[in-house]
Amino acid sequence: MMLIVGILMLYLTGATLLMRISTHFCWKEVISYSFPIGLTINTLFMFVCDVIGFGFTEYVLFFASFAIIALNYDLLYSYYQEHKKDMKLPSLSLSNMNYAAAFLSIVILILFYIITSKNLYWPTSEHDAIASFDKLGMVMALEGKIKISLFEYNLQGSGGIYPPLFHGGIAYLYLFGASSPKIISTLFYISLILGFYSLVKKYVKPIMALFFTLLLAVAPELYSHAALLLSNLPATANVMIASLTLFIAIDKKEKSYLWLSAIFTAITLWTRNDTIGFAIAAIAIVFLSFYKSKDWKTIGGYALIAISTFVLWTLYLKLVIAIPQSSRFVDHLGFDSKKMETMLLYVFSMFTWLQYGTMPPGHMLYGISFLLSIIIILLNIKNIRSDKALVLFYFLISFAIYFMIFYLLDENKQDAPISSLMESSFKRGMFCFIPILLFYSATCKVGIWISDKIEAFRLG
Amino acid sequence: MKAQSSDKSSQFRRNVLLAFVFAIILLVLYVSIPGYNWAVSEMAFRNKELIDKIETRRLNNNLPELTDEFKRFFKIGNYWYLSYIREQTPQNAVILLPPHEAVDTVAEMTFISSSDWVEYFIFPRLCISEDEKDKKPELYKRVTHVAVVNYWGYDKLKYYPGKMDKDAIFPIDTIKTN
Repeated sequence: MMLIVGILMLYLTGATLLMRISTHFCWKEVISYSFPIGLTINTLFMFVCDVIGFGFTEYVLFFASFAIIALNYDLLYSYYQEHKKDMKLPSLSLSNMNYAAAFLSIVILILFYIITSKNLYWPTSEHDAIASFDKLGMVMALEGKIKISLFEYNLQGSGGIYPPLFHGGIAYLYLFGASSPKIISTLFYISLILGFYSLVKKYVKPIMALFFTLLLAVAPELYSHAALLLSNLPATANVMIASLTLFIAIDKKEKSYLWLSAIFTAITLWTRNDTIGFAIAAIAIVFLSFYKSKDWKTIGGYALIAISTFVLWTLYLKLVIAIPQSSRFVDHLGFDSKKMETMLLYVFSMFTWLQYGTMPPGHMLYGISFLLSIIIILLNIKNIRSDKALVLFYFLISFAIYFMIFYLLDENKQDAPISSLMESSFKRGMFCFIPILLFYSATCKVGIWISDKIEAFRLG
Repeated sequence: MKAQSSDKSSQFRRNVLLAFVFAIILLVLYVSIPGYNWAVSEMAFRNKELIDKIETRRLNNNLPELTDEFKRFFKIGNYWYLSYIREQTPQNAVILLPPHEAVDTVAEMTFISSSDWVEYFIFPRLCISEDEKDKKPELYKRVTHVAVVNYWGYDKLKYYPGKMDKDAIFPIDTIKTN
């Protein structure tokens, strides 16, 4: 019971902040965005408590969230009044039903149900979750602070230098009585699927939006993470919202989406600090879009919000935890051709069906997500500069930085060769690029043309 | 009226045909891409079948709902040993874990030399692997118990324990301190 109250508080706290930005988001977007925002607010409470030396408990978090909801309940109520007519099930009339859309929805729901059953049935068992995230969350909940006693003995695990959104979320669930915190993965998976569908549907018809949502939801390696307690799926959900809302903000000139994107870029950096490439790409796009109109306020505001959590956590790591982020990187810059070659071959095998290292040939860890995107980009080559070029620009910048981060990692300090890092951390980090490329594929001119043809055929 | 009805009927057929086409596309993807096959049949359906089987057997035998503690015995090969460490040591114990080379041939004991991993199961006790003795000398000095795995660790004890089992946990100084 307490757990349900705790989760509900997360959604309500997130929804109130969302209403402050705009009340025009549809209910699917509200569900999708509220959870990460609510979790961020609560982990920021934990952070403030930690900094001032006041131990956090479930009561502290409950009353802090309650205060936010109480101060903004009028916004939630007016949103409900305004949108209650939209909160209805689709028509179930057999003659008018969109059978393809219904079929794709059912497939998504079945796959979601099965992976969620698995997730909620088994306790945490994967190595990285046990050695790091779940352990950090559990001890944070017991000790009521972020810099837990395990740091003193260097027993925090590799996730100790990550910002506290994910393990703070785990601590939050333990505080509210969860015997296993794995529901956090399911809630992020819901945010990912629902958010992607509602944002893609702004451009294409439901069948196309659902087909691409299915491709995202069942991208094999990502799908398996919906039953694991790792931070890659949450990071993917946050990157998806941060990037797609930015594309929509620029494309449709909607400022509310721009601020939402800035907030989600900050949330992404509050989840994993190796996602800095997405923040740099987003700031570059905002700069390119607004510098002609000399709108420095928007550029500065976006950049400040986006990197605020990164700065906060870097300072905390340096001053409180005393582990600088740079401790994982090489001391001297130089070109390591062997390392570069290994990394490029791994990347090539991830984008295609070819084998490299111990990854099985033709397995296609991400399904057809990358291949289909490459095909659609090639089909859309004539419009490459005029049609959603910012999406590809964002992808290229963020991917280049992501690649460089791994290139600069010191294999000795990491206690793992680059091949091992590519087959574990790098492979999982690739999830973040799937929604970006699928969004481009579904909403570029070729995607919209296919969507319109399908709809024209369906309606005769 | 008749034309309208025929239009509706044609639209209905197209609608169904489209759903059928998507079903074929998904089937082709499932059959031809090993990744999808793995995700759907292995990750999803096989796991669901396993859960159903466990639950059916539990219900048939009138057993109470399985706790997370119990489920860990299914998932983690050496959970019995981790549970044994917890039972046999006080909460302020500092446990010496074997080095990687002592357990790398015993599949069941995977990760037992990883202090990051073991710590999750034994908190608030602390642990340190023999491999880390130079990295964490202060904690190494505070060791109160030795995790004997695959006969490794008896030479760390300051006394003769009598019975020498393959896997055990002993206080480092004297058996009476436990």
